[in-house]
Amino acid sequence: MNEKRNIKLWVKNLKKYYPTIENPLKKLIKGQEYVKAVDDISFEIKKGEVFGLVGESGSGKTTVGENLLMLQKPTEGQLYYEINEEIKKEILEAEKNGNKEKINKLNKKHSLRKRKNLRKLRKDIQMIFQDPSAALNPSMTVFESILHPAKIHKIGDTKEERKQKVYNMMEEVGLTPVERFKDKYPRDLSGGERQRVIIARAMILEPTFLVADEPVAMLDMSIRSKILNLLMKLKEEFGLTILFITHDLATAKLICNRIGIMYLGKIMELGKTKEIFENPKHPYTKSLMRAIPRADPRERERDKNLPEGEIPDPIDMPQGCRYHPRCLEATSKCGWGPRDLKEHIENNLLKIYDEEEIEEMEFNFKEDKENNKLEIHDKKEICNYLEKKKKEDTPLMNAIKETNKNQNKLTIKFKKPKEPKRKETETRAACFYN
Amino acid sequence: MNTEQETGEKPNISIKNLDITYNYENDSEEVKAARDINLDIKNGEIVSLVGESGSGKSTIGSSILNLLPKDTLTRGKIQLDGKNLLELPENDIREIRGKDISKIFQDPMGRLNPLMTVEQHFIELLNEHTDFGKEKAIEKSIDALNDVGIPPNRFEDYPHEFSGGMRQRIMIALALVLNPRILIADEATTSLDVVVQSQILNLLRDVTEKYNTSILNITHNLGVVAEISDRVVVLYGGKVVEKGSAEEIFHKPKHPYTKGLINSVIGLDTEELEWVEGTPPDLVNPPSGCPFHPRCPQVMEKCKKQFPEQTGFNDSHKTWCHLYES
Repeated sequence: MNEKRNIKLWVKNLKKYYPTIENPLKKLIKGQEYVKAVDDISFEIKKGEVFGLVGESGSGKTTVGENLLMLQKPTEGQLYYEINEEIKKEILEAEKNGNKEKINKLNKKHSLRKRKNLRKLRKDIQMIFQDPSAALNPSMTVFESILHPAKIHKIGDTKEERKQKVYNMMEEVGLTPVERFKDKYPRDLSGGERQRVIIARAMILEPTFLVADEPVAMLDMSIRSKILNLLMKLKEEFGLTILFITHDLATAKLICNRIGIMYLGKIMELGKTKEIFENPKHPYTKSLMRAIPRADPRERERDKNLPEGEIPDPIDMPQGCRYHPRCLEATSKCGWGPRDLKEHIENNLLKIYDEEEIEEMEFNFKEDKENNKLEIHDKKEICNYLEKKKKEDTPLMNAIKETNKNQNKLTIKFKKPKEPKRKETETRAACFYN
Repeated sequence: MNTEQETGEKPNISIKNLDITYNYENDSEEVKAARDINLDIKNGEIVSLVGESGSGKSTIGSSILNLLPKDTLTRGKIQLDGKNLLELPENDIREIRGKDISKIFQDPMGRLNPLMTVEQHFIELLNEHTDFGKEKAIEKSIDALNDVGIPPNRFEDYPHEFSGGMRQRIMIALALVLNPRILIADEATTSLDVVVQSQILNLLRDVTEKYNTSILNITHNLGVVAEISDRVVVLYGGKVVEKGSAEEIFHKPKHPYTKGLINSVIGLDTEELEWVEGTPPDLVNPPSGCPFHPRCPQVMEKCKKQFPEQTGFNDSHKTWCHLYES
């Protein structure tokens, strides 16, 4: 039956919001705020493939991984495990018809969120973590660490059989000679060896699905490839499906069949690895590729064309396309608003004023998110600056819908922001360009 | 033994026959972290120390400012203006820290005081080392922040109000505000995302050019090394095994370890995974002879007995490997 279940995992509209802890009074006035770590993402992983989730820190890639294993409960969305096209169609149909009863029934049967026998499934879905020293119990020997899950999940019938399985697995992952390694503690091992223990500990349960979260990021350059090679070998031997979470595009390129590029909780681009690298569509993907340091001094002077700034605060997400403030190809419709203008003015203060003037100044900016406008008080110089600037053809200035000057107050109103969507079948990138 | 060529220009800082041993004369086992290190850095030059964890690269960086634990034995010379930094009393070293030589670290949040604003950080530093009045101190600080791209209205903010990359920019501004002659960057871009990392590397190159500062860049990331270094020193097991210009190290590597290291980098054009077999050496009992011999694919009998002499290919490019000895 499982052979026909060629979709290993279908992540559907997954959301994970963390409430920010704030004082109750503020909560009453402003409403509860959330960090939207994962903000409505969908993708599927086919059986036997390596799917890469790539993103900078804060993009939400690790949160996705943890939600898959139910180490955290998703806020919304479903994770359908081992299904096929027919079941998928059924689910979509039921959703279209608003047949709640049927959806519930299907969810109970297929979604990790609703299934009862999660513990059994945990054996089938295993995880490899980034920091091998933190993921191992310092008071357990290599042998004990690998044996422990086997005991819990009752792998092997006798003690002797279990022991043999542990030894076999140690050989499988290259912790050889077994005699030398089995009684060592994590502190006696190098980073690479520790990661092998973690891999062995996961593989002893004979999982079919492996979530590998930055499995080589903490290892020395000279042995990263060896661990990756081991993972690939195990994948072939055991027919694994792997979700590979990484910040490193180059590694993803080498081992993933398909990749999804995440930014601030959203998948910006998704597709076959080859296609993405040959012809990246989303400006963010392009920037990431240019920024990767090349181990070749001759490429130093290449045109890097870096985006400005950094990943913004996820509590206060940019409106419209969340990448627009840093995007090098942004147009006026990408979601510019009062905050962008405020930032622009702040960054150009030295062009507007003298240094001494700035030190004594108070700035009265009033951001009105609801109506997408910015009010500036008592600042003739800024008004003048904007008057001049408005004539320039920049996306930010072009996004301004109207300006009102009322005595000492300047009100600048922006067009209503829209967020670009990546439709699962039609577009690869979530960008207005495509 | 030390034959760093004299090319006319006087080095900014010069490390000679440096040995560093941790846990010297205490109850734990001695760790020989660096052995017989020789290194000159010229004005305005960016030199990278590369190696795996345990190669001794950070230890060497810390020894320059005397930041090593108390029971560490340091032998040899680190020369700045005819003074041996290893022999200077603590008070004199304090004078040099932050003024002549400054350092930036991997984790900027851990190095900035969470209770102090950016302004207070600058004022404290400038009060310690200069007799600037408050006005001049602020002016200097704003200039330094401007160099690294932090707008002046953020001057009174606290570290937690900045993002990781901005904090590293503030660290760089603090490190450079007194125009030091040498900046030690210890994995300064390691915890940053690629885009920000690339921004910071550009920034480091620009400011050093502007102020003719030398950088000792310590990292395991060969991509970062290739992006900014003039010269590269490859360390293995506490020994220098090869040094040369960035071009020489990346395009004509000689030492089997350097070759292995460069081949194991995973880049966008990598088609096959390659690695260096074996595990890093135990520095309590370092391997005899060449420390790389247990992992070396071209090991010979004499590699196990004797550390090789230096082989020079030209003025800058040198290796320590029996394969090249005549």
